[in-house]
Amino acid sequence: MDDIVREQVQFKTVEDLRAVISDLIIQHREAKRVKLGVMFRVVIPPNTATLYEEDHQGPGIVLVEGVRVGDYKFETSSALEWVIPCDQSGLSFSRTWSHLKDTRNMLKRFNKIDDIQQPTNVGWWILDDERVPKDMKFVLDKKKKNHYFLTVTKRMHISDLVSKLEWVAQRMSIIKDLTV
Amino acid sequence: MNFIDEEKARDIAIYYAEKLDDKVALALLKSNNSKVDADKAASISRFYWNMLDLAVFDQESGNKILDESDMEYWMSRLMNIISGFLEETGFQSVWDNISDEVN
Repeated sequence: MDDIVREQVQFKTVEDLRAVISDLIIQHREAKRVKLGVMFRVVIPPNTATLYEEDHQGPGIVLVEGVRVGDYKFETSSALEWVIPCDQSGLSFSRTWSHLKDTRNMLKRFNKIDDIQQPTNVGWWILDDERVPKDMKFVLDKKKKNHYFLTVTKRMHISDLVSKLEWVAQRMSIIKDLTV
Repeated sequence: MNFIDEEKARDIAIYYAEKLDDKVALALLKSNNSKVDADKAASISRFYWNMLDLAVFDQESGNKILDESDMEYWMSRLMNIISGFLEETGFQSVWDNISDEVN
């Protein structure tokens, strides 16, 4: 099944996407009886799985070296050079199809140019034999089951955070949206 | 509904509920009472997606809402707060059905 899933680099219908996500969860979470195993995230091109491109982070959103200021807590006295620990801030990841679908439906509505829908991709990250970068941790959203923040657990320079997020992105696969 | 540590999210939701004149949503958002039935669960689900359309328009137009411009962040928080509330109160299927209907 792993080969089948890894070859699935695009989806033409939402049902195609649901089937891929379901296979990944069965293979990397349920079969291994682990809590996380595989995590998912909506990715709007041309952004990478974890870092944003200037002018593609959303109108009015401040970007620091590819990190959106709203996604992490920044030390306000350091001119946005340092991020500080917060167990409810961090890149958003979905643990289930249901949460991923809701998130994708929400972000799709922000992802139009001149009222024309743009591709809304999905990234996935297998966690079974790879650890989250040092000083980072997945923390459950206190308000929503199956929604996790990839948090920082200690004060960290933005360049360190960017390196860690690049490391994560290199390990994530993207399923391209061909529904539009 | 649980808005502990997220009062700004509640204020933004109330702003849009008033704009949409959605009295059911307003009552739920203003109350800390967790009582809800299937009809109210459906109403607050629909309210979320209606609010989202207004928030997308505001973000694209550069409108600040209660001094906030990153409506994507706030709509993400409100989606998790509202759907999390419905899940906790046994109405996940209502949220799912309405969400499938409008998306």
